[in-house]
Amino acid sequence: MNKAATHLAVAELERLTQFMYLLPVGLVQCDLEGQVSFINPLAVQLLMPLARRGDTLKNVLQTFEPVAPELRHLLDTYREETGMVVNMHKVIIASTWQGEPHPTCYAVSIFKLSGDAFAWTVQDISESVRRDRLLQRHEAWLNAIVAGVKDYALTIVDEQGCIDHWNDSLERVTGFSQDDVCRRPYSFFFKPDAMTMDRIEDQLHEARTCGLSLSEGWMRRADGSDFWGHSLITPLDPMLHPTGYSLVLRDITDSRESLDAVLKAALIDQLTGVANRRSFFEVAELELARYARKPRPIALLLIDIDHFKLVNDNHGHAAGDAVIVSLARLLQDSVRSIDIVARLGGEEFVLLLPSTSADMAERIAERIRRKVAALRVETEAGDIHCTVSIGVTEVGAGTEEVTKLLASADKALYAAKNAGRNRVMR
Amino acid sequence: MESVYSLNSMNSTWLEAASAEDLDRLEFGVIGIDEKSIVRRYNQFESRLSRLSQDQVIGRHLFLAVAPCMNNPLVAGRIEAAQRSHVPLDESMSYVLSFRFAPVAVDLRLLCSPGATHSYLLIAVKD
Repeated sequence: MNKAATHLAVAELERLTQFMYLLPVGLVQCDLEGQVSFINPLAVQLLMPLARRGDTLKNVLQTFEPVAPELRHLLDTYREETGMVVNMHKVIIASTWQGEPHPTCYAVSIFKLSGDAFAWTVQDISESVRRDRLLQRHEAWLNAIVAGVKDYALTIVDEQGCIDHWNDSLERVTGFSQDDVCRRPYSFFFKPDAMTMDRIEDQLHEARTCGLSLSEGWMRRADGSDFWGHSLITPLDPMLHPTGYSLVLRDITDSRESLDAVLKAALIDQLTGVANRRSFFEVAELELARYARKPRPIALLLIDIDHFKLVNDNHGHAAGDAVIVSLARLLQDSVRSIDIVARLGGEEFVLLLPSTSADMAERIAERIRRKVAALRVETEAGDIHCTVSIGVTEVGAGTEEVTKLLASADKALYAAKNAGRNRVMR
Repeated sequence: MESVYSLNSMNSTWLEAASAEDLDRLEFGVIGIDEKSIVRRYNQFESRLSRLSQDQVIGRHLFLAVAPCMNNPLVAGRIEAAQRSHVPLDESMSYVLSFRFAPVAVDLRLLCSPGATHSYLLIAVKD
């Protein structure tokens, strides 16, 4: 190459470098193991707040492990020679930095370039997520109105949520007679652990201030059978009934499965089937908004498997996964339907317990700890025994935001680990 | 004088009084920014590390145009908060910078002093 051509090539390269350097999107290239071969400054800006102590961003899968463990699985199982592995996959980051009340949300896309090379883009989409949420509410509302309705029960409840009027439709859908239901709070139609009096008050408040309140949950019929029900509560005309609400109950068991498939992809942790990090943050934010309006006990347990790295090292990742799945099932079986069990990442789980005091939560945590300690997980690598450490906290002054609540539980969890593991701390 | 000065022994008073030549003699990176995060001081060591000449950097916004890798709550957020509330800041941390598109682990020290004209970022590459 002659001198002028070399000079031109250098200038081109300089321009390209400058362009990549200041591009407002995080760019990373890695191999199948996650080893980083290329990272631009914006990616460093976005990834450093995720990095655990000692993480030097050499491995992007490791950096994302605490907040998006599913990415490793997605990379491993992608079979095409080249193509999009994930497109704008949402990852919720609990930002514990002061002055940031809202969790941050990143969108991660991964493109497979060849057998062992993957290109990532990472963007901070927190702002647009907040805007979209409002849109989603409206969409859900439209859905509720137009979705194929086979049958529904329409009734009227008073300001306490007690059934005011009985009619035929109520008996048709639920099988309960007038004597069964009159003057009872509408939690009567729900399975005993699927609705609380606090929740009824929240829904009536939501209906009054937002015009409607929608929810889904397990309901029961007079014959003892269950159905997946949908409820729509709207305030009655204030001139005619200043304190009443209409309540529409629908049996949507049939459409639940198709709905489930759609929701599952976005809200359920792929490995364990419990809620994922994203849905935990959505539910927790909602629960805390209710708390802000009317304080009531809400507790949170942060659960971490002790020495999990040893399980992986000694028995392999498949056995480690089996342990995580067993723990998820044990947690789900230990709580009410109204409680939220979520996998935050890696070997860390969280339980959100509405209408539960810290004292009660501590007892629940202790029960879980003992159950886990007695558990034997059968795997192909042999039976595995493990223990958990649990941090307990409750919503109160200074923990009215999700990130602060988690930080408080994390502190307790850390204390439990330091005190020798296999214990509950508050 | 080189060996006497380390990243940890630095303080705002010394840095503010130091001439450009003094900063160039140091064996770690020094970036001095004003209250609007515009780069005002940039020593030789940092220039070699980033392969950016002082001319390319001085007068530009550090977090937007020079080192976007530090434009997050950990670094820019801390400095801006200290400047806004006029409180001193002296924070040392492990950090990662993107030099020539590779992640490089560094020790980073942030120094803000309410009376001083500049806030400083001191950078030493880890072994």
